Amino acid sequence: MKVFHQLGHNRKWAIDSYFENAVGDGFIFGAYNCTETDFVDKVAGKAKDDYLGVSMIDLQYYGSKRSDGGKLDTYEFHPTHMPQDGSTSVDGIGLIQKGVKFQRKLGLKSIIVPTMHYEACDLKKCNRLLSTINKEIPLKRGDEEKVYMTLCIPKDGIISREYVEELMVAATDMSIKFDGYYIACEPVVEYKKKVSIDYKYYENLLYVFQTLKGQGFETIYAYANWDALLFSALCDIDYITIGTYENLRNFSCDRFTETLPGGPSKGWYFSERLLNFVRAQELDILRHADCLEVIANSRNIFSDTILDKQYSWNTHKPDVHKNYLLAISRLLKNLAKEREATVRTKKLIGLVEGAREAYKTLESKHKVYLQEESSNYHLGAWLTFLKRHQVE
Amino acid sequence: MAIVHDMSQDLKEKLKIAAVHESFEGGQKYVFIATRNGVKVAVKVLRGVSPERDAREIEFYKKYQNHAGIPKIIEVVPHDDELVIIEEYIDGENLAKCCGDYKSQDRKIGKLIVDICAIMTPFWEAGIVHRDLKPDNIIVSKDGAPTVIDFGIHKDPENTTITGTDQQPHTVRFCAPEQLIPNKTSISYRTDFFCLALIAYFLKYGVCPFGNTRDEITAAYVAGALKFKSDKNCALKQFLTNTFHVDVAQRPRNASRFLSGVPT
Repeated sequence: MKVFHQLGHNRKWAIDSYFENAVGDGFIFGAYNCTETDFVDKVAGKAKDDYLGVSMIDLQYYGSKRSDGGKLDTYEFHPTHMPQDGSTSVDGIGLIQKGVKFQRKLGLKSIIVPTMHYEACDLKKCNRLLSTINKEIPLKRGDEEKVYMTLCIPKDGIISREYVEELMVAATDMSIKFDGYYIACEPVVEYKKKVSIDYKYYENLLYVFQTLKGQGFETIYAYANWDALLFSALCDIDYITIGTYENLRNFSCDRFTETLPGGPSKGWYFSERLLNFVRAQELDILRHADCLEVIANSRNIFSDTILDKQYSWNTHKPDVHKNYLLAISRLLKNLAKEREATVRTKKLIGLVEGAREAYKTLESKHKVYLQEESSNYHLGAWLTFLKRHQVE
Repeated sequence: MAIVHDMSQDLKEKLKIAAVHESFEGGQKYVFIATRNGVKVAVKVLRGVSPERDAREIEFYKKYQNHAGIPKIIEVVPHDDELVIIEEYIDGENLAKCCGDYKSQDRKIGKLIVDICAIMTPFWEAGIVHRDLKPDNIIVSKDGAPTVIDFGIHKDPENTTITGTDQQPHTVRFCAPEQLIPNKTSISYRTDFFCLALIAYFLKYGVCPFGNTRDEITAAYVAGALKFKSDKNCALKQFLTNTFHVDVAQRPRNASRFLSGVPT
């Protein structure tokens, strides 16, 4: 399993963490944040020969409708230039071919075939497009190139087993010649929560990964949040993405912006021990109760820096995000060391139980009760999901 | 050789039939094995029960007349209100009748499944689904080579359908979940895969894996996770496990994957 940085706003931090701290195995650039010409020169101070060999590009064709302010329209072939009247299918194929050609011209070894997203879960239309793209995209150039088709799964779709099954039937048809799929799925997240606790979401997304892998396709889990741990324990996903801001970890089918809702934030601390983010303000309580060690990440220089008493918290500081990138990539890689899903699952169950214990310790021993997103709202759902899938 | 029905004298004269050796009755037709112009042929007298189905089958055989492993039509002759098809005689036995020869013969069953797949793969690749693969619709020659017959209810993406969305033609004991609990959009080559796995199981054990009645089989399919009995040394087990899924997407996605667990 490889960990790839899903790049967006402030991509330099992720690129630095790769080159300076050995975090991750490569990059997925997003068209919203990169112009067509960015790739001919240095990115974040790195020459293209240094990063293009380990890069992919998500041209984000699905993000053509409400992605104001981005750079999508700097690509002359991007569907954002097309009238949004739904009459895209014929011209759309041409744009998709141009998108593939663009990536090949850059010399990328892994091609992400972009696709449009249709409103209202119009799966039949999506599947027809999938089939047409499969027929029309020129064959790959030699064995070195891998071609991944984008599967854009909306929130209403992922919670419907019928939708997912129909999508999987189309995606695994005998005619399909893609090497794999780039899966961008909208999470089902409740208000004031960062990860889903929706069981259907977990079941169905796991079904997507397991079905595709079972049928011999490679899988890239795009815009993955840290609940990717669950899927990577239960299924051999080939690529898992890690991202900095929330919008790089929570995908939306029809818009792609960097605007963080909910006003200014001081930021969040990701704790490997809690398997959760803790709001910066609540770190002060933990510090006051002298129990930071319960949640602190070990062997993580960014964690050491930001947990320092003198650290001036700001969500737009690199250390805050690099702490997450290092911590989550370690968690993912440690799981992936185990070849057998049963062993990985057992290992993750141990981590989740450990996190529940850490929350208990904070409450019983230190009288600290973390709230809302910082609380252990998700761990019960995770444990249920893992244990129900655990094969003894 | 039993003769269940007589061929009418005027039909014999019209077709220049020298002798009728055998006859039997199907749901939609009478079949006579006869000698015509010194050659053994199969004469099928369609009873007009389903003219649309008959027309589809004739059209299919004509379209694929050079395809190996399916019947070859020699001539189609209208006779009174009926349609008569003269087909090449297939020298073999219906699998339903010779299924005992396959009992516990895993490799022999595997070889048969591989051979049927070789016949069907070009059709599957063209989007055509047989939809009624069962022992009755497979003729096995003396050397073990199969011929797949009765494409009357096949699904062809180029033709309009003869079935509604709420019904799928099937034979209860040899049908896939999406046929028994009708789901027209799920009918595909993977429906035929499921049916072939049912045939393989039936040949191996002499019984169907999920019951014999509509109620029994429906209950198994509705329950979801399909469980079937097998013996410890069953060489077909992996093949059956790979294929017996209610969810179509879980079944092998192409013939080579489908056959990967077949002992040969």
